[in-house]
Amino acid sequence: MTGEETIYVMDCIEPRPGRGKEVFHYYMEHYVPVAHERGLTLLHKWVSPPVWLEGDQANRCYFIWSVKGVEAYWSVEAQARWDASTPDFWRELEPMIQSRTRRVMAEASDVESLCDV
Amino acid sequence: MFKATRLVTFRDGIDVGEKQRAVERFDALVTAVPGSILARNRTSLEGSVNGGEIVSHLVFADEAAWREARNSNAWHALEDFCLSGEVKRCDWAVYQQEAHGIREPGIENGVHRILLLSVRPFTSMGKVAKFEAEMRDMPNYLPSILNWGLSHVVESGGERHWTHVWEQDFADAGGLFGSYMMHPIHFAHIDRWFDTQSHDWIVDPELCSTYCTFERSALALRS
Repeated sequence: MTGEETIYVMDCIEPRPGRGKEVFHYYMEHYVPVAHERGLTLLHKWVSPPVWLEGDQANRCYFIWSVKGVEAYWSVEAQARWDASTPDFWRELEPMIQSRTRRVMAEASDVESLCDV
Repeated sequence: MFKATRLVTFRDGIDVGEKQRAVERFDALVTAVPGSILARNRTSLEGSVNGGEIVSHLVFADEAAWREARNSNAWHALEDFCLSGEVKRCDWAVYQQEAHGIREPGIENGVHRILLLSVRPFTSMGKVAKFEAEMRDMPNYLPSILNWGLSHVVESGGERHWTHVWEQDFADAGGLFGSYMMHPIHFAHIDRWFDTQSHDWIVDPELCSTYCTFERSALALRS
């Protein structure tokens, strides 16, 4: 591990049908400033398909965050973990969405370096 | 093996002499509990979180031996001490000691790490089973974990009703704070069970993570 590897965090959110735009803006307004304050950088905010679906059709929103190095990643996580209000945002999001996942990842070229600890 | 682990923090403002007497009193109470095959108290090391000042292990050959000890006056005296004004906080758990991996049964002068955790109520059995399987498997990616076990708690107390005890032996503290904490199997995979922002979050953020030195491994102990 060099400490220079970029760690990426991806939130994949599937809003309830017809609520894509609402969920996207809710995340941008209520979550992004907090995560940014903790040390994450928002690299991408993707919507699939790139049109706000209506009726019984559902979008998917992808938010790609980054942080430099494992120690910085743990620092971001610790801030969230010790903030008792952290789960509130996700709990309030629940009624608006069908499902969500959060994955932590890195460039494939960094796998060997990250595992060398 | 059946084990009772206690993490004891003495009251705020206790002076050096009072604390020394409290430690000696606690040592005497632990040693007086009948039927144990190992009674060991150690000072927790820097870097512990909610880890107590003293890490106490009482190991019994089996559950019957522990139940017999639990009915003794000595056990009640130990419990009374932990509830007394001398003690600010005492987290404890009693459990059938699991040893899921023993790579170095003869390890000497190593570091024993203990994590008391509480799975949130109403978590599905399927999720708990997956969490447990991944925890038990994690050391296969981490050679610095020499011996390990994930145990189910029978009785507990303190800040939470602890559900699991995750224990590992390391050769030194570097194995814990270096490879264990910094490896992607931990921060990018296993940690999602502990991450309050993850869709897979199941473990209460209140944890007791402590470590202490040992002469011989308690995890590898055989009756």
